[in-house]
Amino acid sequence: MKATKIGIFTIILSLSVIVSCENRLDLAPLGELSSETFYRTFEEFNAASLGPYSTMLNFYFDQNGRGHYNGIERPSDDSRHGGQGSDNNGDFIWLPDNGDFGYIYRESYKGVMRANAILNRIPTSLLTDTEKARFEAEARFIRGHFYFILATQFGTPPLVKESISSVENSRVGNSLPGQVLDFVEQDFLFAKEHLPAKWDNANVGRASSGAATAYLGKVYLYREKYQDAVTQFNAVIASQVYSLTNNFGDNFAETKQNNSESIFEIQFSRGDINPWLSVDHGSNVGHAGTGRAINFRASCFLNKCAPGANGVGYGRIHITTSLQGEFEPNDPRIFHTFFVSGEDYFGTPYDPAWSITGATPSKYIRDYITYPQPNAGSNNERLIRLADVYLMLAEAELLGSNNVNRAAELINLVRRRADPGGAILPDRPSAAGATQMMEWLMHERRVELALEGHRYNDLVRWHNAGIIDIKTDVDFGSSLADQNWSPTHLLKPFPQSEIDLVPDLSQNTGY
Amino acid sequence: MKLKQYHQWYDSIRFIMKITAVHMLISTLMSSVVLASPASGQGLLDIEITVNAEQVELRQLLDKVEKIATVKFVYSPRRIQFRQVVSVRAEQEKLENVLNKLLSPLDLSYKLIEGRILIFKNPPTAEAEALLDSPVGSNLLQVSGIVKDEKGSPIPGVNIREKGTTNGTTTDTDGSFNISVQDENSILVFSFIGYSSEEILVGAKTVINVSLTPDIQALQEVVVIGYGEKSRKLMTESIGTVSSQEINRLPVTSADQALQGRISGVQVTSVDGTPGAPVAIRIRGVGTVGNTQPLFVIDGVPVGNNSNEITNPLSTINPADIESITVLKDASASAVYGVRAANGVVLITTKRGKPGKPTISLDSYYGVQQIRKFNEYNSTEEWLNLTQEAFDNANAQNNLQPGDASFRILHPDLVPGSPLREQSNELAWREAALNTPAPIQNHNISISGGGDNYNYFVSGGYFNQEATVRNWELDRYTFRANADFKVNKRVRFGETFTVSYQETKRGMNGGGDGFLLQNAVVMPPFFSIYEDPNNPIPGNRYGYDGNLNRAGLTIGNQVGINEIMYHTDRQTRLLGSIYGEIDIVTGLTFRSVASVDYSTTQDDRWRPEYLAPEMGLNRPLNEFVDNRGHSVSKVFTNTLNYKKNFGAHSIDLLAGLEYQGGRGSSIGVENYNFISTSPDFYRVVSGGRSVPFVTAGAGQGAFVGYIGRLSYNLKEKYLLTATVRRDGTSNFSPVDNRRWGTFPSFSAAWRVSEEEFFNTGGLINELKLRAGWGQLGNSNTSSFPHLFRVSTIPDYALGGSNTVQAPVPINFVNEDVRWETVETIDIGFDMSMFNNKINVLAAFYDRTTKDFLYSLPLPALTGFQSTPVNLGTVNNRGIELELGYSNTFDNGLTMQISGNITTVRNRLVELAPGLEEFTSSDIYRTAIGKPIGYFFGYQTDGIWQTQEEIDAVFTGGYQDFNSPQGPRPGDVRFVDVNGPGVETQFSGEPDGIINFNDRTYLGKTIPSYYYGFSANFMYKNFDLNLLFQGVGDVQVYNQVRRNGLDLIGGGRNMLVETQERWTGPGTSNSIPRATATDFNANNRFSDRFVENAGFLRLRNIQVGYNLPQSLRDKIGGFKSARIYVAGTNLLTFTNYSGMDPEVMTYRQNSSQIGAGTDSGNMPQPRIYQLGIQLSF
Repeated sequence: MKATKIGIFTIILSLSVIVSCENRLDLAPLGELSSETFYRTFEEFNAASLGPYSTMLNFYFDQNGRGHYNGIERPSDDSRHGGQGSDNNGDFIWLPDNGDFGYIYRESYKGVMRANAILNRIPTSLLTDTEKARFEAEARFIRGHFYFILATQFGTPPLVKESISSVENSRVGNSLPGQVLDFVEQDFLFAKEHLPAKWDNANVGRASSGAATAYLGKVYLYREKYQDAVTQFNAVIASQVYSLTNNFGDNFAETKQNNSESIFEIQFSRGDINPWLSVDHGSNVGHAGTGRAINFRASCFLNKCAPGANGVGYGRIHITTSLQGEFEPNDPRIFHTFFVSGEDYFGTPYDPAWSITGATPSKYIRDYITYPQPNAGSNNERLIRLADVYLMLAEAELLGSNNVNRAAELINLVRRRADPGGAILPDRPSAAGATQMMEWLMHERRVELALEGHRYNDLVRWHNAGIIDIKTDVDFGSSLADQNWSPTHLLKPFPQSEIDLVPDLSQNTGY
Repeated sequence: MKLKQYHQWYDSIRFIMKITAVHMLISTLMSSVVLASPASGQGLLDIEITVNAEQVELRQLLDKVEKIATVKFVYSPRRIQFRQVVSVRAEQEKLENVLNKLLSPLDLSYKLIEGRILIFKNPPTAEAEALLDSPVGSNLLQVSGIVKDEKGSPIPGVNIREKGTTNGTTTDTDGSFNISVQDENSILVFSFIGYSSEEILVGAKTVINVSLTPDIQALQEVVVIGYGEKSRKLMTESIGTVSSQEINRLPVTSADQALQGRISGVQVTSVDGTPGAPVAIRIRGVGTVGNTQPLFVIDGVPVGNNSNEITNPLSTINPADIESITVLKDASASAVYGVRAANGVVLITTKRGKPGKPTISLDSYYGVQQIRKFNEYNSTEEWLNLTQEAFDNANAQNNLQPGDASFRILHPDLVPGSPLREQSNELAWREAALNTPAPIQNHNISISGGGDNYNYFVSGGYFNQEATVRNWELDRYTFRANADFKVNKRVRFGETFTVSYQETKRGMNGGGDGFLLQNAVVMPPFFSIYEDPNNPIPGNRYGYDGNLNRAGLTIGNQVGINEIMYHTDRQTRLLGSIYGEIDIVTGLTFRSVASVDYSTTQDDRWRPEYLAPEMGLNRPLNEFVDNRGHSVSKVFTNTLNYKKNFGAHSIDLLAGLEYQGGRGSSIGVENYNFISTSPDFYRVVSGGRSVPFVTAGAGQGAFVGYIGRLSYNLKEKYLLTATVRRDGTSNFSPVDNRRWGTFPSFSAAWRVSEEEFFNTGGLINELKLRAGWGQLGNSNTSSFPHLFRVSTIPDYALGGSNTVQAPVPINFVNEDVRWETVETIDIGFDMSMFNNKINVLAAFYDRTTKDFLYSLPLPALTGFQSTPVNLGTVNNRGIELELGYSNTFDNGLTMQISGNITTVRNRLVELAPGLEEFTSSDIYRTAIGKPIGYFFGYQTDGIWQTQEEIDAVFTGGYQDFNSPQGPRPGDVRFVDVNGPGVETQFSGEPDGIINFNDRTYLGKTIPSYYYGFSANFMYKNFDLNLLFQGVGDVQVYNQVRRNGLDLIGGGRNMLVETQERWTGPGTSNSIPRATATDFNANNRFSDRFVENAGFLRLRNIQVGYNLPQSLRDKIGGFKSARIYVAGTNLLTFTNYSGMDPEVMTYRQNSSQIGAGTDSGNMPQPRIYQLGIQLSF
């Protein structure tokens, strides 16, 4: 009898162990949030809405220049690499396995994904309708930003409109020409509608209605919808939120971030631990300025080294002689664009022999705060500022309606700010005619906005509009680059890994 | 003295009585029928009982009788062979008669004392009591004799033990022995490795000569299988074993390395030759593109896949403690481990004590390590010539003139007359990185023994190995205590416990990589390691030379940095388990095992501040990092096992439940700017003057499994095994039962040689045919793929300074992820021939993995890099063959030779719909119809010799997209093999354009075959052991060679092979010209850098000498003493041009994708070793 009891007891014990064991399989990741517990309240969306913004930092942190410096800035005729011999990006040896271009592609879609994730979660949140519209607008602004990069760099990138929920749906082929920019226009229109004109001090850095309006105008300009562009740019000006700073250099000073001229800035912050890693990595705090500090700083050429230069490893962006020559003599903006001989360079007279071209950038570098880690930097990147809007508006007026007077007026606003007296940079007379004014406009954009990431896009836009022929009109500052450039390079190659994974994705012509 | 004896005797009686009460509770379940008639009030001995017991142990029978007759038996288990098997039949017979019938033949008597029945040995009571009361050993019998083998030659070293006691001895050189035994009922057990043990009743004999017969080879050995043991001859499964003797022959950190070359179907590759390096194990090919490491089980406790990228977790188990390693290769053997068994199971069993006096074993060796072969690099003069030539060629090709910014000229530091040209340090850099000869040593002591009711094994070990590069050293201390206890005849308990502490000093080899040597040898040869006395660096704190901007180059002096870094990781591991076993009824055993595997790590790192002039890198702030982690895995296993023979039928049934839960967490703190660099100060991370930065992480997981297995045999002739396991894991979604899987398997065998018709006239002694089928699972992938997970790690700064968390999704949600299933077919035979001198084992295997799990690279447009998916089907098939020969010749020479070979054919059968292939990097691809993770790149066809050759091809639009200016003479000739297809991605036909579509199959990382061969010879006191091992038809990407043949000049040093480069028509058809702007991309990934890496290696050779008895006696009574010299990796035959053909991509041991890159890993060292093994 006792044995039977023991048998029953054993069986009951075993069964209870089994049941409790099966419950023990209900585990979750530790130290993470999940869709079950997150994306509900205003507080949560207020934090999550910054996720897409932080993706923008990934274009700037990398010490090797991945992203903005190698992929956007280096191909232009404003800068060249610091060594002898060839450099693939600057010399247009562009192959589908180019890591810099692949990085731009990948990080842009990461930004799109992060924006789409928020858009996906808004309908089921506990937000009010007003809050929903605001968070949707912010997410769509950032998504528009990344799609604008993708469209201008790659032509017909795949269009992902919402969160992808299955592996099968992840193999999206090329978009139709114009389809992505149509989508971007809708995003910026919504953002313009639902974002505030200004944010309170605690939220400075979030996209504003003015930023969306300016970006929308930029899209129209790129698409040669000049009248629409004029409308948007005029709306930015009419909002009276923005004004040119008195001092040109304020636009690149760490102490003058988010100033009156600034329409949209990418907010860098100082992180004291490890400036070499991206914010996604986790052992860094928003330290996105490292790439600039390393790439813009003077280095060495042959046997001559700038103070603090680390061999030839640092200082990868050198000012081409053609950009140096583009400036009118004594243009005050030179001071804030590149160093010239004998100037104080962190305590040592600047020596042009440090650079293969005789000049390295001073923009953003001259007036930034150094930290115990000298390679770190947290000077915000100005993505859109009013002077850029003035010049884009001038271009739209000129090309859209041949409005030479308005173009001259806007160009001269920019010149007057740089040289209030006008002795060095005299006004451009509208009487010179449209062709001359366009040349002056191109000049003005180049010197005003040098090293701010616009130049190669400008060249491509003007080439596509038939205003210039890059092959014959542009001196890239490297004989190899001049030899190698062909219309193939109006677009970048899609990453080969992406071509391999997405059967419907066709490579751009010539790659 | 007398009193004490009595108490011992009394205690054992009391003990028996206590246990009897417990037995009453469970004896109703016993199979024999025992009935008693009602007590009639007569004397106890007149009770009539009915007993019907067939072949039961005496003690069991007495127990039954106690119960039915309500009597108590009292006896001394030390005096009575109470385990002897008896039979008795009685129908309503008096107890007296029954006892007479039962005990008389056993030479036992009984006596009724105070209602208890005392059973004792004849002669009668008085003598029996006198015997009990006399001092032990006063009445011993002396027995002597000679032990010979089947041919009549004496065998030295035979173990002789008095059964049931701790008394024992061994034969000396002439095979003779001398032993004192209790009495004529004592039984002597003769045992010797390789021979069947013999039991002989002493009786009246005082001289016992024994002739031992050879064991029927391995076929009678008992093999550890999952949750049990099995006789090898009754095996239906595919299992391989390695014994402790073989494991301990190699000077290795971890036991898994000792499997190399020993078992067919098991491929073992060390990632590199550094101490504690990860080891890759592939059982029967590569069954998944994900984690393909087998499951490791130590003493019944699953401890994971051993897939750490940096260190080898198994290195915390002392190889000397290991009794045997069993590898479960087919589904039938592994299926009891269910979802974690898809890649096979490696069972590690540690040593346990054997009955007998305490045996103390000492085992020590000391060795030195060297490197077999180096990559040779250019001298300064050769470097300069190459660089100048590269510059000239580039300038000419691009029409560059002096004065053009792009015109390449030698750096002013290197123009003729410069002092830098005068120094050529290429060999000095190598020497400065090396630590050879590097010592390796190992010392173990163990004490083991036991009695009838217990055994124990206690050991301690110390292992130390320095790497062949400087400032890298591993120390390990291990301790173990294993014991088993028989509480009574039904209840057993036991435990295993091991604690180990391992400390690895690594210098700057931070993640454990061995690239210090490679980084040193590619330094420009005119660079200095140490401060140049003619050009001292002001304030240089360390004496090294940063070569700051020398010739326009600044490269970190890693040799110097390595010397000033402090970096140590430590691991403490406790692995303990306790089990209890109860025999519920005869044959039915309940077993419960609980275990904890607990490990802590502490990894701390100090880097002092230094500047570019000193080290070639600027690190102006010193830094100390302290990372700690702990993990605990708890396993609780309960099994019921029922074994029973029904006449010719025999069954062995197992049912069980297993729970395993694990949890781990880690925290790391770093701080900078310590005021002092004193080592005693900076070890406390709060001493830095910055704000300490903290990182942390945690994870958890659990498994639940139900186990069932039936083994059946008919007359030990027809054998059948059926297994099923149902497993659940916390990793997958609970929806649709995706976290549960059921894995059945069946196998059967037929011992043809047992059939009557089988008469081979002695040619074939044993022949067994076997076949099996089964399914196994694999759940190894990143955890929780079904959950939408959000990380708070990224941040963003509002207002330009106010940094806040910016939470983002971190995974692509795939709710559908479930097990991958491996279906295995195994057919083979085992055969012994010529008096068991030759053994053959052959098997065909076919493993098909369905829905294999892989972290599939996602298109970047998803915003994620990869996600776990059930991706496709892969098949592995091949043949395993093992041959063994052993013989003892008349002259006393014993020879054992064995060899094994395994073939592997790995093919990807299908991928998810819409997918034909995927790439995992620039050089590895996985595609249908090809092996997993093959190399793909450009094919080449020599070197263009003349412009005419080029013009003949590059005409009419023919172009190479990688070569914007087209090739020039001296450039590599790439082959156009492919173009875009109409319906598929590729046409397979040349299309006049060389571009990315032309990358094609260049080789594979999975060898087509691998093999091992060992030979052991024993002659008199000498032994010689050889182990060869090799792999064939496998390729390696020699990245060192690709980097070293980069002919652009001006930078890091290049291989001396560049001296053979093309300098004009006909000068070379393999090495292209030097050109500073490699516009033809000569160095693009191509077949030039994929090399055959098959090799045959003399893994180990060992010569030992066993000290003869006379010498042992002189020294101090050792039971055995052996000294040996050994060499490891002495000979390697290969065509591979790198340092070591046995190489894997660093950090890629657990997955085969991308596994074949040689980045300059430290090669396997040659080891010369001297050792001694003593026992007493």
